[in-house]
Amino acid sequence: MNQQDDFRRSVQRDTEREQNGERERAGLVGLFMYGGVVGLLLAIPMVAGAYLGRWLDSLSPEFGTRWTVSLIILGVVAGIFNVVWYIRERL
Amino acid sequence: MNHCFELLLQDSTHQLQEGRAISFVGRDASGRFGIQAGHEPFLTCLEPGLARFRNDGGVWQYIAQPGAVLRFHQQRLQLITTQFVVSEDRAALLSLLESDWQQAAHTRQLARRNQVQIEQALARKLWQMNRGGEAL
Repeated sequence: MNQQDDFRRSVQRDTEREQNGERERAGLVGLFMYGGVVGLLLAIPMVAGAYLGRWLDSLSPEFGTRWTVSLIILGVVAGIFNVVWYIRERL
Repeated sequence: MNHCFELLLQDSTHQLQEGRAISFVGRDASGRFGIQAGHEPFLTCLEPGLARFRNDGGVWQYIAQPGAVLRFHQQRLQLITTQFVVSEDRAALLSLLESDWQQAAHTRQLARRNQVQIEQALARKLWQMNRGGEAL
């Protein structure tokens, strides 16, 4: 009976170890994925705004960066909204 | 080079053979170790608990054992123990063990009952023979 109890405890202990190990590995991968998505949500509107602004500025005959700066700022705001929305959805 | 090896698990009541194992992970007194095909000859005593192996389908199978002798020689890994259960589901191992133990207890109980019945029948026969004056 004592041997059975020892055996049972060993199996339980190793099962928990394996589960904890898997959870930690999943946690690390999940953290990278999460960080990557947040980064993309923030960066894509900024970059898109910058390109669109540059193109709009190139259409006007005088030299200016009004559209570029404005759309970059708009991209940052949109990116922040995206990130806030994504985090709220995930929570 | 063949990347598979043969795995043979044996206990006092049954054995399990896996012809195409890819890797084996166990734990002995020195810590956790892994074995793959082409490993040099190896002999060790596994600590009680879980070990696992993966077949060429990529599926991990978990082995619960109360301590075992493990031998790897010529692409053949032998694990000899007093009891083992194998499952893909780690969480199912304990319930498999419990049912094994219950089965063993039931078998012991039946054997004990049979033994008592045989002893009683023998005693009765001897008593009858003694009363009837029969010779053995």
